Amino acid sequence: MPKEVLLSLKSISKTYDMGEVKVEALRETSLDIYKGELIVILGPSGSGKSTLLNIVGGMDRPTEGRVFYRGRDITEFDDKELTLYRRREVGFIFQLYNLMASLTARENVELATELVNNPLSAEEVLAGGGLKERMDHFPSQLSGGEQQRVAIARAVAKNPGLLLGDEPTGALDYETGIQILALLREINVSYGTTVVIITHNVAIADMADRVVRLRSGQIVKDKENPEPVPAERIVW
Amino acid sequence: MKALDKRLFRTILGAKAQYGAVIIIICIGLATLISISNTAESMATSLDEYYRQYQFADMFAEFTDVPVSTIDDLGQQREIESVEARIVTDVRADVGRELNPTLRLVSISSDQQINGLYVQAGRIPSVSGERGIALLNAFAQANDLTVGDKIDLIIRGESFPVTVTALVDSPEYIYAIKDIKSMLPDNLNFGIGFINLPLLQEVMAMPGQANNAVFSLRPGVDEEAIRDKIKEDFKSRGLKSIVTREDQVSHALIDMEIEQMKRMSRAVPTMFLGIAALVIYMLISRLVQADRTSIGILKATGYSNWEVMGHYLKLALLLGLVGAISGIAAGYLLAGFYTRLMLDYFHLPLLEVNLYYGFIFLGLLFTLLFCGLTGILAARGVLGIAPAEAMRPQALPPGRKSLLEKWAPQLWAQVTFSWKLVLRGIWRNWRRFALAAVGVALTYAIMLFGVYAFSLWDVIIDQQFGQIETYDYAVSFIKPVSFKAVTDMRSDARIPIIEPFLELPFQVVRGWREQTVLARALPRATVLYRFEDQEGNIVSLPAEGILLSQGLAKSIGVDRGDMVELSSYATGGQSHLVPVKAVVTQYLGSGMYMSLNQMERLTRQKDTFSGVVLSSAADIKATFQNMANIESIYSSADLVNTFSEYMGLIIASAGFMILLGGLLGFAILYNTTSVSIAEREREFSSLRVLGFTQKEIFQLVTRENAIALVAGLIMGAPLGKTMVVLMINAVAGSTGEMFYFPTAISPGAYLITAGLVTGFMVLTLAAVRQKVRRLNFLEALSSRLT
Repeated sequence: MPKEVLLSLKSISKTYDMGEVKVEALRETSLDIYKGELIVILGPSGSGKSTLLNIVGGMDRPTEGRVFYRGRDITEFDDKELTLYRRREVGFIFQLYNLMASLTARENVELATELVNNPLSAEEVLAGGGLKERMDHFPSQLSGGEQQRVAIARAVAKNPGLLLGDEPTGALDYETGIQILALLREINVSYGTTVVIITHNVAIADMADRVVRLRSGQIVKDKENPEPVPAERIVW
Repeated sequence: MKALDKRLFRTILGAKAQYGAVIIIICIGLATLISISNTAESMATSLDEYYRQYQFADMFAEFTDVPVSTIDDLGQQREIESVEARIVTDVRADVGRELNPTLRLVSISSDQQINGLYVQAGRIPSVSGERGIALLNAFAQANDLTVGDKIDLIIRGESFPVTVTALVDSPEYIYAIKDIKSMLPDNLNFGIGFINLPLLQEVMAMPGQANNAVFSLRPGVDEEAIRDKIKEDFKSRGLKSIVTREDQVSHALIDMEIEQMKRMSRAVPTMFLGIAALVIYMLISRLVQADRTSIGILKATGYSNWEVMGHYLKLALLLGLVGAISGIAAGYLLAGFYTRLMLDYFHLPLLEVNLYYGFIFLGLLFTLLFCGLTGILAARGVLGIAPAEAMRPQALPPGRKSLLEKWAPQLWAQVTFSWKLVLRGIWRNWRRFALAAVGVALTYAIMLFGVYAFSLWDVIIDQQFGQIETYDYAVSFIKPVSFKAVTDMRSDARIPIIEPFLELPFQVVRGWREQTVLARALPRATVLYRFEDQEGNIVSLPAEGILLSQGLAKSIGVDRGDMVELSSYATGGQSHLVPVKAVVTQYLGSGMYMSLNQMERLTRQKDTFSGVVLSSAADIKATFQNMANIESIYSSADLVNTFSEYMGLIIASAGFMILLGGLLGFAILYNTTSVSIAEREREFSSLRVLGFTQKEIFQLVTRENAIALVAGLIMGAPLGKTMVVLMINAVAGSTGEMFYFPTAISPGAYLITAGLVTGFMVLTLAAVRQKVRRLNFLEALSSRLT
């Protein structure tokens, strides 16, 4: 079966103007992301992976180049269209969970579901993340892993086409990290959501359908993984 | 409820004191607007209705004693619908007390249409031989008189017993004072009695005569034209003065009161809403800063700029709405109370406290507009937060050397480390510091106004009765007397100092402006009057020319050196050009003064005096009260007492103002300090980790506030002075001829205010102290919740 391109980066460059110095975060990078795949982008800090993720997620614009999502050029979008793109198509997961402290787990998820027309049920998604008994707790009453699962539920409940994780296990201990990765794979499989994870943790690449390596703003390797391993078997 | 809205509520609940303070400020502003506007509107509406139902006269004329037919002739004017000839005269009445109050007798007729009486109890005396009197309700109550009681009228030394048949109110005496000089009603010592014309003619020995006329005009008539015409036609037929309704004492004072209330109902709420807006701005802009990461997440999740801004705007509007609704409710409760307070001074029987819903709309509109605009302004910071950047820790603000470091490095080197931290902190966050200083300045200004108002009446009374009019009693006669009568009086009653005066109404004309003024002529060497010009120089009574009080000079539009035209029935209607020699300070009432010689030149009246002022420690009232020719005896002490009662009200409202100032100051300072602590949570936490004690951290806060306090006090003094001048102009604008409020503020007032503000600052610091104590530095440093 031919793979369907969901998102396509064409010769993307991103330069940050820091006054006296210009920092080139991405240099003429091109990448296709296919529908339904779980892709891991590896790179050391400063390699441009966060910039790449932000551009893919419609949070930032490239200085040059074009980004096509389902054939539409999102670099042409105005702020309103870009907001709609993030609202309907993208779910973000952050390294530091970034939950709203004054909202319960359930309410944090509802924050996202209220935005879209056909969301998944907040309760179901939370239950799927093993948080059935913890829904009405405030973030400060949850462990780090639980908080990250709430964050994932928040991203997934919108039923986005694209789930983006920025070092989603970066702040977690090994066992909790593995649980989170397993959850991401499960979402990828059961909802058919395309998942992009950026990390500097090479071990995570083992579970990916495809691994992309970034260095100094350029893709140095883009390789399919014919035999991804289940998250539970990853070791670091 | 949407999740974001839940967050909003929890944000508010999490900082109840800060948001509560804003709500209280708005509530006070709105309560003032509603209570005063509603009272003013209720009074104005009831007044119109009262005037309409009881046919309040359009014009009022005073005559010398003339035949009733002279006044009936007035009715021949086409523009006049009806005219009623009356006798109005002041006598003393024995009501069974030691001192006899002054009773103004006003004649009524059986077919009376104009100035109808509102009967509170009893019935209007009948014409048929009954010797009855209807008393003004307030006077009867103050003197414990009721229907059926008998009182004695003392006329020419004789007693005339009359029976009280009714307690009434009259549209002519809603505000019942003897004349404009007495200013405040004194229901115990001055009242109105209504008697049938034939009976009054009989007891006054004025058969077939009258000395007063009231008339109503046909609709659409030019009042001033007809007034001038009558003045011209009747000046040689005994007309002393004629005024339109606008200048009728009772009406003019109610009108002034309503006007003053309306001014106040605009000025005070605007000030409060302005301050609320300032605090809201501070709270929300700081909240947006603190919520940086949350805003980033919301945007990343797909919330639009407008939706996120709307979140904060809702907060501003919610504060406004809660404040406005509670303020409106409190305002309507207060309106009833305030209206009752007005009824102590104004006898308005038809007064109904209506609720004017327009003010609700107005209040809500203004509050939401103020809060909404402030909210948008404060939340615009949301626009600048890019979602991608907001996820990263915020870059440290650039460390900058303070001015002191740059300009005086040696001095800077002397500064201790913790002071350096304080100074750098101020330098770096100058906006926050400026806001705190402005908060102090505003508090200072409002409290200064309260402290000033507190002493205002003391100053006025002290100046008026201690410096300007130093006599103890002023006696006016029914019929003018000669100098010999004055000297007889002096020796009979062994009065140390007595000075005669002649008081006559004059028409003062300057260009197109014209005004009727009571002129008082005094001996040139008077020691019982002392005049000061507005620069504070003592002015002696000129041989030629007149002195005008500042309020009068302003309303006629003249200054020192200008010429005015004077005319009077006593000059036979002839005009004289006279120079204004000085504009003199008078705190209570207004007046025109001249020497007896000047008066004589104008009126050709010699050796004629209408009253005396005197200085005596003895109780002159008891000695003189039953003398035949005495119309009234004013005692300065009584006047001061009447004012003192009124002062209770003034002091209460000044105290309220000080309290409000303190509350506002507390709201502002508590908020700026809380914000300052919250913003520096990390910085303080780092210092705690370094080994700073809680006390030392608190000291940093204290020192920053101390500097803000000093800066605020320095700014507050001129600001307060400006506010006093503005408020006095706003509130007193319409009372120029009645009161003169000195806007000079004593150094003591500045000092007391500074002390009060410092006290509130100390309270604020005590209140935020526990915030520092609760600072959990470990959590602050490793915080990953937003």
